[in-house]
Amino acid sequence: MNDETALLRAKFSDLIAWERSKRRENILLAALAYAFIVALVFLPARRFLPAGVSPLSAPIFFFAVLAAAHFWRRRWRAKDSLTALAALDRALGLDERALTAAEIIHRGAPSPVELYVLHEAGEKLKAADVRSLFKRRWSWQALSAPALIVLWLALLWLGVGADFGAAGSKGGLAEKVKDYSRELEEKAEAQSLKESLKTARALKALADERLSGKASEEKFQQNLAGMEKRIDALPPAPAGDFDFGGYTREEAAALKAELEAAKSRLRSAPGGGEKDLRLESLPRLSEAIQRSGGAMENMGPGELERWLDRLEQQIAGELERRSLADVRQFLSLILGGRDSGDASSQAEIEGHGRQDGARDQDRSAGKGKLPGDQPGVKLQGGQPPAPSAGAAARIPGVVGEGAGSGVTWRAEAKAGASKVPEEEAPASYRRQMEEELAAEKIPPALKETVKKYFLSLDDKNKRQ
Amino acid sequence: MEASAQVPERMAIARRSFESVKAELGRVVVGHEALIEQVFIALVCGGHCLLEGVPGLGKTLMVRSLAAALNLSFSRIQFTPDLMPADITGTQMLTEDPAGKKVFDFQRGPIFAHIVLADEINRATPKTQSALLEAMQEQSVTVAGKGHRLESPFMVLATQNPIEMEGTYPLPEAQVDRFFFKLLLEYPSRGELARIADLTTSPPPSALDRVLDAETILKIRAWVREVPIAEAVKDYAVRLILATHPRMNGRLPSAEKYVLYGASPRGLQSLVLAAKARAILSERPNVSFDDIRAVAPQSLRHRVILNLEGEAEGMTAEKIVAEVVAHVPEIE
Repeated sequence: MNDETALLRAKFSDLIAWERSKRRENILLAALAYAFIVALVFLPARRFLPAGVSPLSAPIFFFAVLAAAHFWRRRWRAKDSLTALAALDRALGLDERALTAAEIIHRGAPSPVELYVLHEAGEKLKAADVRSLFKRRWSWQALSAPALIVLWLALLWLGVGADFGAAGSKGGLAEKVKDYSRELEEKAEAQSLKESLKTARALKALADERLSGKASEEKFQQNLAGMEKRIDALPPAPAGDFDFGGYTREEAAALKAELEAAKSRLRSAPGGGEKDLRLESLPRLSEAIQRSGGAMENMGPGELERWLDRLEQQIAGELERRSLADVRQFLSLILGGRDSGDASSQAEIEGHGRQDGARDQDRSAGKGKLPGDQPGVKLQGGQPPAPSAGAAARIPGVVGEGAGSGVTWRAEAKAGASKVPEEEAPASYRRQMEEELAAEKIPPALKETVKKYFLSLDDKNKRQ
Repeated sequence: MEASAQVPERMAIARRSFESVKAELGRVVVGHEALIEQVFIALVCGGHCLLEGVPGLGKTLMVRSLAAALNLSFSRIQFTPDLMPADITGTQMLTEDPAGKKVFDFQRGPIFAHIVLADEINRATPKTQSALLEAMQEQSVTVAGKGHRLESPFMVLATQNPIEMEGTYPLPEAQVDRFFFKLLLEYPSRGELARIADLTTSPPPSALDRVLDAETILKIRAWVREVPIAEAVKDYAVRLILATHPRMNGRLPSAEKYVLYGASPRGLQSLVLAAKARAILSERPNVSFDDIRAVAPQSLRHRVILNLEGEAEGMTAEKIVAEVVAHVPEIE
């Protein structure tokens, strides 16, 4: 009987060790599956991870927590040993002989009937292999764990979550930088600003790198700081004859456009004299000439063209300087950790044009760039719309005064009547038409048609 | 070592005894195989049975045949409203001794037999019923201040008719609890009815052989008590009992709703002992969960008392016990 007792002890120990080992495996696999399920749920929020923390740390953390919780909740108890023995009885049709025998062995001093129970149990368990009787059964968690891991890695690779939560988070800087770089690129292309274009493309590349998850937030900010330093290190534009301090950026851009038009007229005119410039249709240039104290009087055709070239170079340098200053200001603002959700700072970031020149102060004081009844003459008393918190809305600049510019407010779009009186709108169109005609952007054959069209609008309005 | 070697032999004797009794009863009793096994289990456990069934199902025939096959003394008491306790236990009679002196002599009643059939027990008054039930519990009777020991083995098989309630005295719960099993006789099947017709309308069969004696029965009784039961199996039996109670931990919702009183500790004794007997009759040296489940209905059905709501909604103790058996887990 001692042999049978020893055999039964060994079998029962083997059974319980095997069941415990299977439970451990199941717990680990279940924790793994649940960890990746939770990680998948939270994947879109991975942007909130601190800089330098790998996305893999999330499932590892969840796994550790869940495994600990599972191990505690499903810890091995005496009941589990009994359940394992009862399962053995069922599997071998022992009618609880194993359960009874285990208890008799534990208790000791068996009676004759109990010895017979041990004998019968020993006989029936002699050839039994508990590991083959109770093979591993993979739970759905265990089966789904590899698929969940692959899915999580795939989504990570595809960059899911990189864009989520951009607004209101430090990770959202990349989105802002990308938006800004897009605007800057458009503006630089329109105004042929080489350095600004280069800067815009570099900013865009940095933003893309961050958004695709290739660079951490920390690295991204370091790159932006590097960009800021690079702009600081750029050589200043050479000093010129003209002072553009009183020019807004729009006015400077308009002047540049008029310069190009003037040069084009000079080249196409047979004499190449001042009269060929038709300065009455180039108000900005006329103003610049007046401010230079009539520097171009008595100039020959060649000299006039060179003077215009020099003026154009200086105005281009000034535009480049201002553009880069804007970029510099933008970078210092976002790297300064300002709350991106704040309406005023948002306005300042995107409405950088308001800090241009002295004339901008007039605009902020209430003299808006509203259309007037004559070309180049503004209405007085117009008020820009007051900013209010909410969704972004773009207020376009007035067409016809140069390159488009705008201030973006985080404002709620509100229904309401236009602040521009209806009778003034045709005047605005007319002014625009005249400027376009003057700038010779309209093909000569169509000039008359365009003129008639806009004049007809005015006539129609008067009839109504 | 030698003692344990005798265990299979003991189990074989118990099994053979049961098979021979079953075979002998099968000559005159049609069907009721499960009932015969349950009565035999009650016999080897030292318990008494309450048989319930409509008239004509062979209750009396089965009990008489059992007594005949067991080589045990048998008496039948037909319970009527005018039956007195002394009619059961016996009485003091004034007689003359050989010297001519007048003495009281105890005339033993029908209770002094190994197998007693208490036919239609619910027709006697509670006073008479309690006289029988005292004998069942104590296995002795007291007449005129003197106790008289009943023979061993002693078994009462009481019958009652569930449909004729007029003029009856239903057994109080405390007295019903003293029955080891409550057995229900079911109506015979078509084939069984045909066999009954054959048996009762042809020449009567020869007298039954006496296949089992009192000594063997008492030996089997002792062996039954030696059968080991694992703690887990015993705990299962305990949890079954607790689950029938409306206010105990581990109760079932239906028990909570419909039961007034759950099974008593006697129910647990009956459950475990009957399971042990079933194990030995299966030539198994230990009790299994199946043994407990198999004897639960007959052990518990008369010990679960329904409340008014249960009665009103047509719930039965049978259903409660079946639900308890179905829902209580083997290991907890």
